[in-house]
Amino acid sequence: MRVFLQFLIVTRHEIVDAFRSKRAITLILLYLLGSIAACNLFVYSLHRIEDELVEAMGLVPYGEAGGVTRALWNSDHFRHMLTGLIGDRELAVQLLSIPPLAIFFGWVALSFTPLLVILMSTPRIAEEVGTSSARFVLFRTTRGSWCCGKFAGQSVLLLAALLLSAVAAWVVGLIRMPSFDQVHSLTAILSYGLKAWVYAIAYIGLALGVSQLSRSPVIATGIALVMMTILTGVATASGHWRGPGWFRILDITYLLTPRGNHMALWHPDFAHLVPGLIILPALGFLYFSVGHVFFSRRDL
Amino acid sequence: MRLPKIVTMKILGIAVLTLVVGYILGGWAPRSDIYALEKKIAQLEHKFEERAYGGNPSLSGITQMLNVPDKPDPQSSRGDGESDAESSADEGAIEPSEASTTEEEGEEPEAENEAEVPDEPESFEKRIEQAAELWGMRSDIARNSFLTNINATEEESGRFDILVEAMNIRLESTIEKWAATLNKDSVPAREAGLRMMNEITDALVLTYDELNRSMPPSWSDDAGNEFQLVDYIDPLVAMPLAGLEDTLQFD
Repeated sequence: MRVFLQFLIVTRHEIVDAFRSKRAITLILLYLLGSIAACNLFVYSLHRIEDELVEAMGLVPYGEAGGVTRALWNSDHFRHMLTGLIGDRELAVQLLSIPPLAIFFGWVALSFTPLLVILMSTPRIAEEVGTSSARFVLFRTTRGSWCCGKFAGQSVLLLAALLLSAVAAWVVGLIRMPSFDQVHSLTAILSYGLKAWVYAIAYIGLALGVSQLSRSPVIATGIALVMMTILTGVATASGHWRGPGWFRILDITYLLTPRGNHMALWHPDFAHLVPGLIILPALGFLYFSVGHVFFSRRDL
Repeated sequence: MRLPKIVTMKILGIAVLTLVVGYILGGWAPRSDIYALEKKIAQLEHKFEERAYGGNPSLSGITQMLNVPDKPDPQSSRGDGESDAESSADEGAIEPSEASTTEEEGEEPEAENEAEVPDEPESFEKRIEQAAELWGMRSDIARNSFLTNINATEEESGRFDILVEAMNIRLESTIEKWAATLNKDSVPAREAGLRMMNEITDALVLTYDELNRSMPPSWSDDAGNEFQLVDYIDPLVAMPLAGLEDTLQFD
């Protein structure tokens, strides 16, 4: 119980410290502005593309963004094309039931959150070890509780940032797209915010795992960026080459990367979603544990 | 109160590692099945594309329309010598699409193929004869079912029989005409194939028109979506195509 209590205290301190040092504010602002800018750009581009399309077809332009897309979204021809692009008919049909802005938000969150996580979370342990401030805390708690508390604290901060950015994306849609399906869009955007968070937990694990290897936040961030690139490369190569026979071995490397599991998050059905929601945090904790194996033996 | 003591990093790490390994190993067998199924689907799609007769003026495209089963696939005709050639040919003669589906269904389709497909592919004439034998019975069943569904009177039943007979005569005459043209080499085979298909479909469309005139007004709704005139084509009408396999072999 003591260990768990210490873990909770470290988590709370990590969150409070993030707000005190304005890191949390910066993180939340970064996500909020990123989300607002990206969604605004999406609505603007959508409106422009729709206007061009309507003009080319010799029709009367829609006064709002999303009108043509809605018609396109419901057309059989477009659905057929999307099925061909995705290669999975069921997934294509399921995605078509989701508002375009939510899909865009999901794509932005799933694509850019890992990079931001690596940049923001990697220095957390390394800088405290580097400045030796960790020693004061480690008199009162175990290394495991301290590192896990950091992990949990970073995760909570990221959850807040992603949920707020999801709400911001919804507000952009509400203001810029008058025929916006408010309730459906809000639930879809929030669900992608949560999925992006689960996906990012794997990268928080990677960031803090690497952070335990170095005393320098800069070196740790550099290593984490290289590791992230390697993992992405491994996932892409394994995903491309895996198949029957000896290529089955690539299934293992593929599934050991966050990217190898992120497609599960796009599926709205539980059969795909639940394993993804479990395995991604587990992978994060695995990366984190590998770093902790070295950290637990280090002379601080 | 002792429980939290075991919650150490080591235990947590091992638990998560076990979860990840279990996830990978647990998915190993289902993924093998998926790879096998993907391969099977690719084969089926390839086969389906080959068999699709939409605008394909080759012999297989024409015979598909005329209820004549395809020549057995040379790759799958590796018989074990103990197979029952008659029964396999008969099964295939029921309906080409049906035959292809049954070939691919089940746990060991290749083994089934090996057991059912004869050593030597039958001649075109033999395939038509075998198809015609079963067609008689199949067509009778389809006819009775159709006439019952549309509540046809005696007079309408008679008219339907005449229309089907007329359709088969028209088809036979069309095929005879084009077989003669192909034999003379006066028209390129592709063009002749396309023209033949056009006339065959014309004969079918004409029969549909006549059915609209002769049958009760709601016959098409009552007959259901499954009704198709192709079921009533006597495979024997394709007999003049025998000997033209090489001429019309370009798919």
